[in-house]
Amino acid sequence: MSLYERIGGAAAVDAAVDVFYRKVLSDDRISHFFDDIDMDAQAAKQKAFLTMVFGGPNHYSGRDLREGHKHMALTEEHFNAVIENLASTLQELGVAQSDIEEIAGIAGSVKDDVLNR
Amino acid sequence: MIDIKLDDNILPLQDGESVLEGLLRHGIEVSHGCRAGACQACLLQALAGELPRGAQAGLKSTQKSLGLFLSCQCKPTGPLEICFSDQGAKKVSARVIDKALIGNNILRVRLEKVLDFRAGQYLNIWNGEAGNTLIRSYSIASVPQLEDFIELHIKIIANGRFSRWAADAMESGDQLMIQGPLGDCFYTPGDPQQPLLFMGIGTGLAPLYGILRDALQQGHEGDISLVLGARAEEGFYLREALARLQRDYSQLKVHFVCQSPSAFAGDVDSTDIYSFVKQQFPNTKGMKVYLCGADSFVRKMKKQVFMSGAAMNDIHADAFFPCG
Repeated sequence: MSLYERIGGAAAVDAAVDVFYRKVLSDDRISHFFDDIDMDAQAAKQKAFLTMVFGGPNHYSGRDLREGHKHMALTEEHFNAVIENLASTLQELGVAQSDIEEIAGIAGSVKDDVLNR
Repeated sequence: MIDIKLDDNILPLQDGESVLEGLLRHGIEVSHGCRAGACQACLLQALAGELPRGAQAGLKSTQKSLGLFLSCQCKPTGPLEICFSDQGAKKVSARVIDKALIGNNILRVRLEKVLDFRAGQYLNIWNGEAGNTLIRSYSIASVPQLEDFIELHIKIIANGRFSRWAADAMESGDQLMIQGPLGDCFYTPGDPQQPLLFMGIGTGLAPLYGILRDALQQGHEGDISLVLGARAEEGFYLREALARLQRDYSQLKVHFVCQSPSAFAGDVDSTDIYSFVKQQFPNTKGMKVYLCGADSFVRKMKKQVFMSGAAMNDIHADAFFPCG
């Protein structure tokens, strides 16, 4: 069974997205990036992000991720904050630690693109 | 081969192709992003035909009811007639049948019911039938199953060109061009026990008044709270109608909130709407929330109720923008 199937597929993403988004909005290190955006549109992007890191279907290229985040001048600290909130969300939802680590690994694999390095 | 009809064009899909893939192949520009059914950038609207399973996954109940679908996930088994969302709204002429001042600079306008709508949707309206006219958007306050007219609440703004025209020049009998219905802020029967929370400022009450009466006439049983904010007491309107509704429906509770109520305002709380809601509804988990009024209010309150537990898919909003 793939990671995505193991943790529950699209239903897992649905269960996680609001929890994750609330954590992000409560985290002073990164919440300001979301100040002026449309919340519904942003929730949809969070869903796409979670689908990708859960090992689900995703067609974003490295270039898409780079272009999408370039203007924000993100740092290592911002990236780590997102991973922390992601891990905490998954723990709350009862996902196995080994799966959490695999998911963090997938997120880590796009770090250079997201940080435009 | 499955046929997709878009405007006047028939666009056949190849076997196994999604609607998004087919449209792009035919050279039609369709926004898209993840192509995995998550980001919702590729939303289109089905006007006729059957949508396959999965094509509406993750959408709000209101969006599903309007036939919106994820074109990247849609591999139809039969023909579909589609359009870009909100492009399907018809333009039609409507006669003004009534005009009355119902509050402090609030004009109630009733038009003949020339189109179908769901309570809470809005219209584009022109101040005449001919070409070089002003266009504005107003939310509908009436309920099609209850009333034979389309009711709008227009705030008369000092230098508002449209509202000044409506107040000073528009008359019963005038024909206006309207386009609609538009918008996705309306009641959908899902769980009749679900607590509903309606919040609005100013003429944000217009669509809320329609949606909540629609919920009631569809038999909604759960608690319904309506919280209305205004700068001062004279900003409130429809108070008698709301009092009557409260008397007739025990599940409805109406709250008026303003910073400076008069000494005689027994039922008006003296505070700002955000603090009031935080205190009265500290945990909004499981509630369906409707927000209407100025965009700044809608944005701030949307964030507040989401953070206190309401699901993103359970928050419906109709934001008003000034047009001058």
